[in-house]
Order: sequence, then C-alpha cells, then structure tokens
Amino acid sequence: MQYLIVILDRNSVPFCSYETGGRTGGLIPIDVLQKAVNFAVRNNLSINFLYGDEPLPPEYETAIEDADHVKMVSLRHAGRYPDAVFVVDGPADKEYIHLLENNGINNVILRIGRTQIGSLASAVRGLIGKFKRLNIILKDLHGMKDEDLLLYSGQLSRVRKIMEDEYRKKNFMEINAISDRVFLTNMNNCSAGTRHMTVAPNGKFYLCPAFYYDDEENCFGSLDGALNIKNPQLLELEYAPVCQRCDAWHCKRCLYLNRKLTCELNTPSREQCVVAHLERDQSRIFIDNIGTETGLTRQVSAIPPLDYRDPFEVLSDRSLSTLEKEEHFSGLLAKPLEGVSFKDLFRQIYSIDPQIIVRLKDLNYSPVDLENEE
Amino acid sequence: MEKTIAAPPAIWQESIAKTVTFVVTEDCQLRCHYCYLVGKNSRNKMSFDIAKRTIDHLVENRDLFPDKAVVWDFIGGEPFLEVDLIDRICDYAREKMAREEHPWLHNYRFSLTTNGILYGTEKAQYFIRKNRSDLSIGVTIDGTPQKHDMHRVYPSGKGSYNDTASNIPLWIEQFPVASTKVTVASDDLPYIRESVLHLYAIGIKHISINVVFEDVWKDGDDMILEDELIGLADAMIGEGLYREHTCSFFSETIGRKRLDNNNWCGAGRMLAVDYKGDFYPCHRFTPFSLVNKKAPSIGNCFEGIDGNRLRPYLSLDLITQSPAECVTCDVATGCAWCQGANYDLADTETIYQRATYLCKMHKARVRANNYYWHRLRQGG
Repeated sequence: MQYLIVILDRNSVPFCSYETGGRTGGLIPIDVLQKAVNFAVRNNLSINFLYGDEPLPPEYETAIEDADHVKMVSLRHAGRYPDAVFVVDGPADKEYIHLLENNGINNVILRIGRTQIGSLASAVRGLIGKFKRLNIILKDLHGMKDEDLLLYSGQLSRVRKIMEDEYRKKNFMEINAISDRVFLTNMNNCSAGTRHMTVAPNGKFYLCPAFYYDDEENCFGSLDGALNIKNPQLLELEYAPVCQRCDAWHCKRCLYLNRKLTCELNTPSREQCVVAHLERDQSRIFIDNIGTETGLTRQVSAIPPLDYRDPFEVLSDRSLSTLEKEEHFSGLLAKPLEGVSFKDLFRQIYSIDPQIIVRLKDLNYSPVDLENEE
Repeated sequence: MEKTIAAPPAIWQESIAKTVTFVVTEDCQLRCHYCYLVGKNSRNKMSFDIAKRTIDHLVENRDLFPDKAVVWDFIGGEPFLEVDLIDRICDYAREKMAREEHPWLHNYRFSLTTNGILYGTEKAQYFIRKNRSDLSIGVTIDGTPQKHDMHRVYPSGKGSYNDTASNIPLWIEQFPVASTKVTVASDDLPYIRESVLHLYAIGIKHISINVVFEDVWKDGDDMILEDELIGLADAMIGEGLYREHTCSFFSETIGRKRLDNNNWCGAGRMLAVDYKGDFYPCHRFTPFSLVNKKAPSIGNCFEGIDGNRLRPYLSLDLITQSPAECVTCDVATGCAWCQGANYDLADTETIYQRATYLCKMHKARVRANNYYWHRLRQGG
C-alpha cells in the first residue's frame, strides 16, 4: 500500500470515472480526519485529499498539513490551492481554464463524458502548455456504444498529433492516453485496494471513492477497527485472467467498473478493453511517427500492431488452440525483453527462482532412450 | 489375453454442442435431502412464450452462438411434470431451425433428466415415442432401496425407490446405453459399493457418480469412501463386471498432476433460462438453486445476452480460481468443482473462489482408483 485517499467532503470533486451521486455536502468530522492522518503516518502512506467546494476550517488545514499529501481540487478552486492536482470537468469548466498558469507544472485531470467526446481534442489543445501531465478520464465508460468508441478513436488520433507536434518542439509533457503505454513495460494500473485505499467521511475504508459513492455498504473496515478485504487475491494481476495476458499496460483496469459491468473485480468489460486498445494503438503510431527524430526508439520497445481490440476475443476463441494462444500472448508480454540475451535472461530467472529452470528442463527434455535412438 | 474394459458412453457432440437448458418448472414431487434446488415451489412454471423467445434468440443469432450443434435440455424441478410444454417446445425448436435453415437442424438433440416417477405415464410415453430418435433421457436412481430412500423422499418423508425402480426396465429397454447419475453425501457413504452393484444388477451399465461439493464431510469420511471403493473395485474385477459396466469413480485419467490451466466446469458455455426468461450460465445459478447469493443473470430472452456479464465465465481457468495447493497438487486430474456451488459458497460474490471441501474425498477416490487399475493391469 502506498497511499490513502481521504474524501474530505461528501460532495468532493470526483477525479475518476465515478459520480458523487448528487450527494449534498458534509465535511468529514475533524476527529475522523485526524484518525485518517494518524493511520497514514503510522503506515507510512502519503495521502491524496479530495476537496469539496466549501473552504475548510483552519483546524482541518492544520491536520492536512501534518501529512505527506497531494491535494485534489476542482479547477474552479485553483486559486485557493495553487499546488494541487486540478480536476477539469469537461466543457463545463472551460471558463476556469484561465486559472491555470502558462508553463504550468501541475498535474491536470480532464474528465470527459460520453456526450462530450467530440470535443476532447479541442479541450486538450486548450490545455497545452498549462500542465506537465494530463490524465484523460472517460466518465461514462459503462454507457459507451460502438459509435462512441469510434468517436473516441478519432479524437485520440487528433490528440496524438497535437502531442507529436509538442514533442517536436521539445515539450515533453505526458498525456496518459498516449504516452503512458509508450514508457511502460508492465501493467501499471489504478491498483485500488493494493496500492491505495480510501477513507470516506463516515470513517470507513473503501477500495476507492467510486465504491463509497455507489453504496456506502461496500466498505471493508473502519478507522476504529480491523481491515478485512475478502478475496484480496482478486485485486492482483495474477488472478485476472484477461488482464494478465494483455499488453495494454497503461489501462486503468478500473475495479469499480469491472464489478459494475461484469460482476467480477478481476474481469474487465469489453468497453474497458477496447478503450485501452484504442489508446495503445495511438501510442504505437506515436512511436512510429516521432520515435526516430526524438530518440524515443532507442529507449522504448516498439508496440506491435494487433488485429483485435479486446484480448478476451482471443482468450475465448475456441477455434484457436491453447498453444496458439500461449504463443500469441507470451510474445506480446515478452516483447520488451527481445533485446536481452538468453544468457542474461537465464541468470535473471535463476536469481528470481532456480526452480523455474528446473521446470523448463522438465518441459523440454525426455528420458534418454538409447535403444530407440535413430 | 487382451482384456476388454468397458468405456462410459460418449456424451453426444460434447466438444461442439451448445447446451440450452429450459428450467420448465421449479416443482418436483420429491424433496431430496442433498438437492441444491432449495427453492422448489409449484408457482414458477415456464410459459411457452418464454421458451419460444429463447429459441428465437438462439436460432436467429448465429454469430453469437456459432456452436456446431445444440442440445435442447429440459430440467426442473421434475421436467415430466410439464411434459406437454416440453413436447410443444421441441416441436417449435424443430420448426424454427427448419424455417431458418439453421445448421443445427442436422445436429441437435433433446435431453432431459428425470426422477423417473412419471416415466411410464401415457403422456411421457407419447412424448418419448414421438421424439425417440432425437432424445436422450437420464433417470436418477441412487442405488439400493435403503440408500435411495435415505435421501430421495417425498415431502411426507416416504422414500421414492419403488416409484422410480418400477420404470427402470422400460427406460433401459428404450435407452439401452443410458447411464444414471448417483449423488453421494456423508451419511450414505457406507452404501456405495452395494448400491453400484445393485444398479448393475437391475440392468444399468453406466453409472455417473459424485460426492457433493458442499461442506458436509466429517472426519473419517474419506476412509469410508476409500474402503467402499476398494470393495467395489474387488467386486467389479472379481465378477468381471468391468467388461460391460462403468462407474465414474474409476477412470484411468484421474489422480495425476495437471499440466493444463483449463476450467473444469462448462458454466457460461451452456445457457440456462428460467420461467421469467432470465438467462444464467447454467441452471445451478438460477434463483431457486442458490442459498447464499443473489442469482447472477447474464441476460434474458427479451434483450439477449449481456456480453460483459458472460466474460468472467469464459475467462475462468484453473489458476485464477484455485488455492495454490490445488494448482500444484500431484493428484489434481479428475478433481471436480461446480461453478455454481463455488459461487454460492464463496466469501464474496465471485465465481473465482473455488470451494475445496471435497479435497480429502478426491484423494481417497484417487487411492481406490489406483488400486482398481493396478489390479486390472495385474490381470485381475
């Protein structure tokens, strides 16, 4: 566990795909906030504080400053907290863009709803120069139709071109949907429940804010008691049969949407997989287009083209043999290792677990049979 | 001399068929103690319209259901309570497949599993005669009168052996290679040997038998199972029964380390529909089959399959749902699980937590199975 998310206000700024469900305000009680900070300090966790619209009383600010933290606030309140991560809620926040500094170094989250996808590229263009890293969040993934995904693909292509132009000008900013996959060699996802967890104003723990806002009964403990995540293995990549075979390593793998759409924490929806693969494809073109001139090609692996947008299609394809599936997925996952020598790989395997070499020999050698030697 | 060892009857088109199960009624004459259908009632019966819509959806969407064959399967409760409806559904399925010129018309089967009580009635016999060439029927009988009547009872507590057994000769005459399915719980373990031999004696040659998946096993049950199966092995070999009879407790392929990562259960590849028209990954997930959990519908006959809800079932493999000791187990092959029971027994609403209550029972079975095949290889 690396950090704690603390919801300071019941109508705190939603920073991901969830909504707060029209909840009216209500600050976290000061004693709950102090317990949450204390919990984080004792467990060596940093805190992401989610702010609401109302200014906090001084004793709250004092408690917050006690912890190693990041503030997450709506762009509308950028003036109050200039060092925060700002959440831009689609076109509705356009009038507040001026609050972002030119040459700004803040991280910015841009939330885009299903009906706003067509304005994604122009929204990104309007933010260029005002952030170091931009996270694009699709708010209504669960309602996406094929035509919405097609529109997203077209807008992503335009965002990618904007980014290519910026890289040519040596403005090496990050936009999650394009650049994250370029620089990753393994899954790097939301990791709710493993890398972070959330404390709500009621003092209870949730996998992430979305679970709290969906149903307050979704908690797994409280600041006053023990934590008990049942079936915690299902939060891990090793127990996610689709994701562990996939190389859209930047994918959010949103556990909340998994649960909501597929009824299983460890299984992504089709929409999640398609969105991640549309982004992966733009990352691939990004490297192809500017990799050589920027020197990227020397530092990152090329991303192979795919003829599908959802690895589940391959996984569940009964016309493919197990061997064919293994060859495909292992090739994808091992792509960044292609430049490493066998000698180095075997030494590394040995250092991780010598038994893997034993098992590889079992798989590749049969007992000696001199009598039937041809 | 070459030894002839009987093989269990092959399951019709097992690897290429889509099994579509109609839960035509939630009613049954019996209240079997081990039955997982905990919500039996006389209210919930399927209408013809629900069945028709289901068939229409499947036959009209070949891209969603590309399977090369289909089994139209009927279950309850007790399906023969609704034999007129089943007959009408079968007629409609044939008609619809023909009208749509669906390849399934040349590769389909009707199937049902019954407690056998109504098997000899005029209505049931009319249905059987009419559909005989496309039909397979399983009759469930648990063994000796004593074992059968321990669990397979009417609401009054009266055993049902006589009412089922009286129809067995007719069933065998009509379906000579049919097999019966026997379920074993803790208290009837001591009757396995004599029950299997009894079923052979009344003419049933193939017996599919399993221990229940639930948390019912007591200390020492594994030893009783092993002793019973050793006794059965001795009898099968000593009396030469193995030449024409099979019992699924004994199989050459069980008790080895697993080298694959496949799921055991076919949930999700099958489709069950209940009286409301809701779709489930198999009938074990229907509302009246679950004790602890909400039934996880994967669509309905009005709107079709919800592809997202089906994904977890088709993604299941051994490793992601099993404890580590199951993955590395030296005798894992043949160790069964039921996805529906796993779901109902899991700590959270997931199909990815395997119930392992029968671990020691499987290991006992493996030991007896090793003995059986060792004796056969040694010449009996």
